[in-house]
Amino acid sequence: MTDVMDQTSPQIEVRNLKTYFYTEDGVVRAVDGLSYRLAKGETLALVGESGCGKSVSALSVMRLIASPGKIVEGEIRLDGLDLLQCSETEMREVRGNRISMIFQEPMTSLNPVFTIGNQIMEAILVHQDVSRKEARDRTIAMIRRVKISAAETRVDEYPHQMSGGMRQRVMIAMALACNPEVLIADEPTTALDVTIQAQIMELLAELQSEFQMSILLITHNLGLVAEVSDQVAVMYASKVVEHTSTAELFASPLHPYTHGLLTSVPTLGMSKEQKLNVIPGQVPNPLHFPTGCRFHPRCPVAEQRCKQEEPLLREVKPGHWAACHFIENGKSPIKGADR
Amino acid sequence: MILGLFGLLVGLAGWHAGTLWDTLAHTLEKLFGANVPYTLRDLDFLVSTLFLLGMLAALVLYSGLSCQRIRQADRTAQGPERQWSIVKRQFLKNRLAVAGALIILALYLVAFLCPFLAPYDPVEQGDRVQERLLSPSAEHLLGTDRFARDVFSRIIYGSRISLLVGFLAMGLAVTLGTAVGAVAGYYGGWVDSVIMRFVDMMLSFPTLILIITVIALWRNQSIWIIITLIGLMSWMGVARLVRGQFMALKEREFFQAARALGAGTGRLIFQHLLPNSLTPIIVSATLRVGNTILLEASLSYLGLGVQPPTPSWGNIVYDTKGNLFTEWWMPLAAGMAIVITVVGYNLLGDGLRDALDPRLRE
Amino acid sequence: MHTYIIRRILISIPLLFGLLTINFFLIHAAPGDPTDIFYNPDMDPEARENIRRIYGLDQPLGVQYLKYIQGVVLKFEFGYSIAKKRPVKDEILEALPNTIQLSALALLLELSLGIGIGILAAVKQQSTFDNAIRVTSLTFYSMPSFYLGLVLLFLFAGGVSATHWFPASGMVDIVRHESMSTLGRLGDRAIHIFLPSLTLGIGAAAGISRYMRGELLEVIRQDYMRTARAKGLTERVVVFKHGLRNALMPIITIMGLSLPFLFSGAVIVEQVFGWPGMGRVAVDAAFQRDYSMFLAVNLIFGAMVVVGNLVADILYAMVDPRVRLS
Repeated sequence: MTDVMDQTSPQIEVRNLKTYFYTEDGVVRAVDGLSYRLAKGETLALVGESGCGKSVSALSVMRLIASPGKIVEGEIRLDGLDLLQCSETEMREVRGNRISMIFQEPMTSLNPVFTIGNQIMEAILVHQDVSRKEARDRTIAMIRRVKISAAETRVDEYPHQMSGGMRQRVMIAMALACNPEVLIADEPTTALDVTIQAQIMELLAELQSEFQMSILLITHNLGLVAEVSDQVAVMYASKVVEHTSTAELFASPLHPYTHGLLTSVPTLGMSKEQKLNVIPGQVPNPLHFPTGCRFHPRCPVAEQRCKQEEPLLREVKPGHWAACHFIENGKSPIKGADR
Repeated sequence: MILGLFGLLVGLAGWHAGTLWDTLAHTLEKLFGANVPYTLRDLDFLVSTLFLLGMLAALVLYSGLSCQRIRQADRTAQGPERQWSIVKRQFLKNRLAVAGALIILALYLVAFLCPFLAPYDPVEQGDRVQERLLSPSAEHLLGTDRFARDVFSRIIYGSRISLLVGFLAMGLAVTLGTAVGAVAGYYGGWVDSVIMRFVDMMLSFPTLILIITVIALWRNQSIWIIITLIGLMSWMGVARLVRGQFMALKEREFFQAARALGAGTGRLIFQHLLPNSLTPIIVSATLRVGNTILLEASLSYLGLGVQPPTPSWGNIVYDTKGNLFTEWWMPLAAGMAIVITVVGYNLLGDGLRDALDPRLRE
Repeated sequence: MHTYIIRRILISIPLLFGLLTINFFLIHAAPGDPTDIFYNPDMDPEARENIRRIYGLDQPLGVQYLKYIQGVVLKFEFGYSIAKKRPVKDEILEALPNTIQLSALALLLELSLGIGIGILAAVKQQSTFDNAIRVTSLTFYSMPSFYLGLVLLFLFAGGVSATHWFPASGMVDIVRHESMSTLGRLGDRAIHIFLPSLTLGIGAAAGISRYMRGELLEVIRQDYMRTARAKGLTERVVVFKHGLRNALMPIITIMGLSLPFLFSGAVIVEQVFGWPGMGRVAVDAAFQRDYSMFLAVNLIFGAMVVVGNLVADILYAMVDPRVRLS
């Protein structure tokens, strides 16, 4: 496991990304200042509840944000190249080739009228100068790599002829067909059965080490985070509230929100009498974020200051960033948060 | 529920009163000679329209009340009154929809105010030698036709026929279609299959041709026959729509909950399924009026619809099409009236659809 | 797929039978008598009976029905037109090809124009172009076909002083057609069919373009479009390859559904342009109370619609892999 914030040049680096949506009802600040760095072969998990801006941030990296959305500020550097300054043509060469993305719903993410082979081949043919035959061979190899049996016959099948798990494998095959440097996985297993989930994550882990890819994993499943990621960034209301290595996060979560998240999930070894924590209230409306700290209406230790002053994300411990007024000496304001 | 029934009764009473009034007007005319002003007969239309408006108001009220109840049950505290103001706001934002509504409003005003707007009696023939086929002038804004009747007045009065036929035929079509679709959708199974086969069969007939056949055979070309026939040929689309809606709604939890609580068929249909299907029905009804108006116009154009001297836009074109190259303003003006009306209804229908169902918008 | 096709064909057969039956009983349920056309108050009632016997109208309705079915299904015999004094079949054989020509051309126009414009409008959504297209196509869609026909006639066939670019009626130039060269004949036909098919086609195209636009917009929102973009494809490829393929499928079905309206429109257009097709036959039959003609006309049109829909459904099954491989 590599050190967080490795100072050698990262594979992908995002700085102060801001993506806003200008709707009829007002401005929705979907991503409001996101920064992270991923080294080669590392996995960063972006965690948070629905609507906190994680998917939008991923789409921003791919520059797949459509109007009324707009990336208003920030830098996204892929191995030094600033993606936000690229032309659309240059960006198209990056998509599917250097950065790939897999999505949450394998059912609807594949085109029902084309064979899976066709769709995977398309990804290859668009970026690589090979013959159709060669592309087809590579496609079949890819299908085999994602552990789908009978690849030679499967390659000509249609998505509706396959199960959800298989379709997700096809998506992975399609995403990895051109050997990308970064893979963005937006809740890749949420729509799948638990057993299939495990298989898919295992497959991803294998492929990651084989291809030496960096993975940006977007999820709300903390168990998954603990298993596969090296770094974690916790997002709330379009901002990052805590960011550190996985081990450190689970060992000593500092932000009250993180703590709330962790204690709301059952863990092995809990007694039956132990109650699960509930974070009171609801996720705020992105049109009207609370003033000051966006978490303050739901925070157990909130005070007047939190309403007025927005806490900045700062390095409260070496390699551990958090955004809260009350973190002192690297200790969480919540009692008993450190284990 | 009760309100709806009440509205229906009021409407029916109004309708009968309307036809009664017509007879009354005729009798009065016979008694007092031709001095009875035309306005008596106008009341016929007025009452019919009141009936329809009453129906519509009852429908809207009914749907509004039911919708509020349904939506209260279905969602969490979202303030039911906001639903309608949201719909209104969306609708008003759409300029085309507003234009459509204005067109229809203008049309209804014209139809109501016929006797004030038309300078001449539409069926009165002038001097057939001197005054036929005159070009547009200050006296005759659109000239005269070959029977020396003022074309402008005829077009004004034609609006009444078009609106009457359009609306009533649509009413029939929607009622019939909803009933059939409801039965098919609610009961499902073989009832549904049989009904849908029948609907398919009816849809296979090119509408116009069947109507031509029946009209020609029955030789009776009163306006009511035409309205009935057009209505009978237009209900299929509504039936399909309603059936689809019912079938989809049957899967929803609120319906299954109601059924589990022991609600009877009538209650289930009228209080749960129907109110939630009203949106597409209203949209479909509005769009359908356009079609029925076109049908009536086409029939009259062929000479098989409303018969002269009663002016209908379609039969004005029929009367004057022979003069297309010389007195072109006559058929073209009448046709333009049709186009404007139907465009109005279509814009209104589209606007309603966009405003009522956000899923249908982009 | 084969089961699907066979099932569709099997359903069509009772449909056609239903058409036949409803037709028959509808027409015979009408008040009046087919021989009314000969009616003369001074006529000897016996002579009348004779006429009825000649036309087989004295038999009980059931027998007439069976004879009719027999005739139609086995021999394609539709009876005798009392008004026109020739077998109905001859009348139809003359008129039907003309209508089919007109309808086919109009269908072509409907497809190309309708789909093309629908796509354009969807791609340029919300722009002024899109709005302009929507209003224009709505206007054409709201026009009665006779109006459009009359306007075109007026503009291009003689109303406005010397614009005699197109002939005002008929299929061919009666006087000169025979003496023309083959090319000349083709040109003559083309020039005559142009305005009527344009009239019929534009109205239909307006309707289809609305659906096409809606479908394409719906498809563009789908997840697989996002996947395609994420692969690095150009927007053009994404829309035209991935999007269009999906959007066009329901259009096939809609085309089938638009057939009844196409034929209704054909009746009107044939009147406007004096086109000697089935529509004209139908209207003539209406005015002359020609019973056998009615039966035949209704049946033929109904059958055309059923067959058309069948073809559309089969095409759809071939195109949609989800149906094809089930």
